[in-house]
Amino acid sequence: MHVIPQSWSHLHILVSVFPPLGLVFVLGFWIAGFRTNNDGIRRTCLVLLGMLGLLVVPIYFSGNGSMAVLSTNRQIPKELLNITKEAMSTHYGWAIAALLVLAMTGAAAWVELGRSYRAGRASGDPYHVVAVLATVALGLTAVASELGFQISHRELQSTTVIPDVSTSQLWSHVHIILNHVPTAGFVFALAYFLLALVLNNDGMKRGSLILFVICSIVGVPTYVTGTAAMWALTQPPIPEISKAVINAHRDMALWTLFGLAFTGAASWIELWRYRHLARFSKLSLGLVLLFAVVTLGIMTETGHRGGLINHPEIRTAADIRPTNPDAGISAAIEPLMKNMVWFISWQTVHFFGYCLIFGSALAVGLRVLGFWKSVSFAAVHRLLLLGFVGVVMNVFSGMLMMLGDSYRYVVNDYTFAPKVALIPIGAIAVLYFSVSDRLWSVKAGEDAPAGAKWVAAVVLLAWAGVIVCGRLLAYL
Amino acid sequence: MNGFQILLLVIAVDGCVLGAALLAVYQLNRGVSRGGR
Repeated sequence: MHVIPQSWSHLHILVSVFPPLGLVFVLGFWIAGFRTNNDGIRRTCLVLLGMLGLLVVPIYFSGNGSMAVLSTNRQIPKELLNITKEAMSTHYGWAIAALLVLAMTGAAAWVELGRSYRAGRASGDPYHVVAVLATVALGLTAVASELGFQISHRELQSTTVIPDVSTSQLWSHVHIILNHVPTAGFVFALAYFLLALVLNNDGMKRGSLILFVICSIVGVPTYVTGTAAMWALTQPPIPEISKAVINAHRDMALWTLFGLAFTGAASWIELWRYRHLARFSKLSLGLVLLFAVVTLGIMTETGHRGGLINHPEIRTAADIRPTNPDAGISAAIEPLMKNMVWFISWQTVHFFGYCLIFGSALAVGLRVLGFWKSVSFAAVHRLLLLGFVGVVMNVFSGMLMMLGDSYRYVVNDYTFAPKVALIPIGAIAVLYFSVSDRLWSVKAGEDAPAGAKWVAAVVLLAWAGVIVCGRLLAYL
Repeated sequence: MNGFQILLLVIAVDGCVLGAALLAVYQLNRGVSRGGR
């Protein structure tokens, strides 16, 4: 029920998250459509760009409605109201420019779609107009979104710090931006996936599975930055922000992490299997769809609870405001994981996971770089499955360990942030090994393409960095 | 808990996780081997 907005602000927050992320994903898909010469992908991109263009209408009117409500809100002190009005004015200027270009992008996409249907195929050249417009719209919507955050998220400018207790509000800022990738991004991935199933387009199926995996990978830093943001917002306490509301969001985020892990894992396995079998299993795709739909439901609730932390205006009649900061599953796991007995058990699982990840990444990476040329790439590609189970093991064990001592990791350990940043880089780079057609065709005795060697180098450096930063956690 | 009991617990937790992981790897590899190209 939380997706049915009951105020202008709620509608504005909901619909305005889609254009920036949508444009990133659609442009990514577009490039893939051109590279693989897949008409289905290109036409789907045009439809989605056209739909993004239509979002201009609700975004504009809900934005105007929100401004009117906020400008006359008597609960806001006069000085703060002036600052809010100034922030709204700046946001409005950029937002109008962004919406204009987005509307033009949508209109151009619909025109192109009509032309391609009349021609009976997706033509090449005129698309560049849409691509350029979409790129400009992406830049402008990103700026407008960032300025929009500044209206209500005054806590981001807080510089109050208690030494060894507080952590930077930068974490909150990163979390606000990052959380839209697995949420709004997931909606696009699911839309692509459904269309791919309807059109029975293998290229689109592969593309949407890749999007599911990327959303799942980004779920990890999103969860971690969320935990850090919890410390930033509660130490020192900010009067209008409730730890109990944060905790209710954190609990649902934990379930989201599980949902993302299941969806991402099922998607990656299908990508890996497709590489060897050259066909998809209907059962596996059905499983991905089931996981994705359930995860989207959980994620919607998570997003709404996250919004409630700093947007009381989106509270619906069905919302019950949490009051106990120690209620819920996260608070129950914390003391359990503080117990050394459980901590070392899962820490050992974590180290086994690293061995599997680095071992398989090293073997595959070195083959790509030129070692063991007597073995085909397809043969070493099978080893990636070991690394994959290592990633799954480490996401669960790492999450449990972080719950046990989140203060130490996100406030006191300097190497935790680079470690968490390197994980998605290494994981997304590994995806290349399972999706590149050129690499797949490298037979025994053949050299891998130069681009693949660069990716292999990134994979090895990123995972080596994760291990080094992880090992230094206790000392820096 | 004494040291020996902790060791047993670590072996139990890691054994279960690694056992499940390796079983999954075995099954998936077998599926690919049967229908591979």
